[in-house]
Amino acid sequence: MHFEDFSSFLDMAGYGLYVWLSFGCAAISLLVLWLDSFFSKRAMLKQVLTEQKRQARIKAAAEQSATAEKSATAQKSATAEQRTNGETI
Amino acid sequence: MWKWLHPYAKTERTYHLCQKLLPWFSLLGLAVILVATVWGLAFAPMDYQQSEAYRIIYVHVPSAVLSKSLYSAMAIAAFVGLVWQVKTSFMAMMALAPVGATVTFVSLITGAAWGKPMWGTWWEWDARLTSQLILLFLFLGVISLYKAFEDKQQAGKAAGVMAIVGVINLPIIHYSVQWWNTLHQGASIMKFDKPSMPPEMLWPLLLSILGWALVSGAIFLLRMQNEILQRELKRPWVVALANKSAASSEGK
Amino acid sequence: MAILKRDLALAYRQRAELMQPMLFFILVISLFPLAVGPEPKTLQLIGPGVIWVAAILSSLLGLERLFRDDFQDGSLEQLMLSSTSLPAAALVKVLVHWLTSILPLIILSPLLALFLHLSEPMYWALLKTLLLGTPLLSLIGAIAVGLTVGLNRGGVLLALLLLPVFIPLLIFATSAVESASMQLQYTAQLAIIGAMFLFSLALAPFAIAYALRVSQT
Repeated sequence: MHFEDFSSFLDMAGYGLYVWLSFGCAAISLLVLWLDSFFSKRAMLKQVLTEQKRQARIKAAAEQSATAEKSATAQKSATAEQRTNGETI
Repeated sequence: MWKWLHPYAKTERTYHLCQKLLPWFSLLGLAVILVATVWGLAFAPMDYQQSEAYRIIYVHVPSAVLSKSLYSAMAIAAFVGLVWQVKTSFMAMMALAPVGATVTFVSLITGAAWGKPMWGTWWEWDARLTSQLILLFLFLGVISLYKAFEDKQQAGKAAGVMAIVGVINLPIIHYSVQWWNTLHQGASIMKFDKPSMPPEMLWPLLLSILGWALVSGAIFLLRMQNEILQRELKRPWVVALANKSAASSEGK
Repeated sequence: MAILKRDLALAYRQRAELMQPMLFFILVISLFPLAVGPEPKTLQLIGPGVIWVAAILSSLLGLERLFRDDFQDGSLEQLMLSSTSLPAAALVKVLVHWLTSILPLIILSPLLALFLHLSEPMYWALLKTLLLGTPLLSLIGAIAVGLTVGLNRGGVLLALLLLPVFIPLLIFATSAVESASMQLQYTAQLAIIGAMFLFSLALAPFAIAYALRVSQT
């Protein structure tokens, strides 16, 4: 250990401000860059998941309406009226 | 000769390679940088001319060294991308640029903080600081050109051309600024580098350069993955990957 | 050759637009005496730098329209499809740009040298650096213009890309004028500027052509 005690280590023979400023800025800059990269990766993976869910929902809705369409052609007039009622509500 | 590069033109493969390398680079880099910083700050002997202020060298020199190597790496990636039409190469270029810009910024701040006690002013138009400032602008230019394009394929090519123009200019800028500096200031500035450095000071310096390189490498790998993900959000392998990572984080 | 004629004719028809960078050049330079005071000594000291900085800035203004009209009306695309070599065509366009928007600045420079109290040897040095250096501005600038021509908001970006690249030229040119003011030799600076000019003359046309191809897709 070069320094005698902790306060002289902090003081750096009067140059403490400059030395700690440099090391602090370096640490903060690298940390910010690292965190930014890390969180944007996580955000992107999350985005993929929500997109996947959305696609699944769209697909499900499409299937539902397709089956509804089929039954509608089977019993034409009655259900058509029902559906328009349902839509207005 | 370029055969071994070809598998990595496939983005999925590159992504997994990055994933494999990432923990090594991060852990090793953090460990080395920690050891080097503590060594440099607390154990290395004092400089008889600059007292304790010289300890800024343990962040200033690694960041300055890396800023130039990162620019060169970026330009090489751009060149490979332009000549061999490798898509991943442009991604590497854009993953390197923010890391390089940050490191250049750090070298400027630490240079200023070193200048205050040594020259008595925060900013001296010193040759090295000035060319470092121009380097930062070159980095920012490449990044903002890339961001300006909607089509990322086009953006990569455009930014690549600019990176290469910059790297051809870099030695000219360096030389011209040095020459300008001697013209205007003569030998009044204090020289930092000494003919020889005692090994107790040199070892932590070399170690800190290594640590910075490893940490920059780790951030680069992470950003490389981001670049790949960003462009392939809809590909099945990305969807599978997202599901897997979500499952593993829920399991914890 | 046909391109040269056509572009010159087009430029002649757009005289008003070509005047703008020139007016800007004169205005910027006349701002400096107002800002730092009319002391001839100070003006002489900052003069070469001011003229060069103003020249670079106003050339940036003119550069924007280098490929813009051709890009928008599709004649650039036609040029690429035609049998003429694109680098050669690009070189001609750069030449036209230099003739129409930079040569007038150089012709105006004696007037501005009077404004800033430059001595006669300084003026000759300035003229030589301008003649050798400004083609470099057009050549390198055209690469960046080619890259940004497809973007709507290219103006500020162009400055951000080009200004750092122009720094060496600025340094060598102003130091040549400064040497001239101290009655020193300045052939070294001129030689370096000349070397940069020739180097970019050899490579820039290909870079411009590539940049235009990137923008066109």
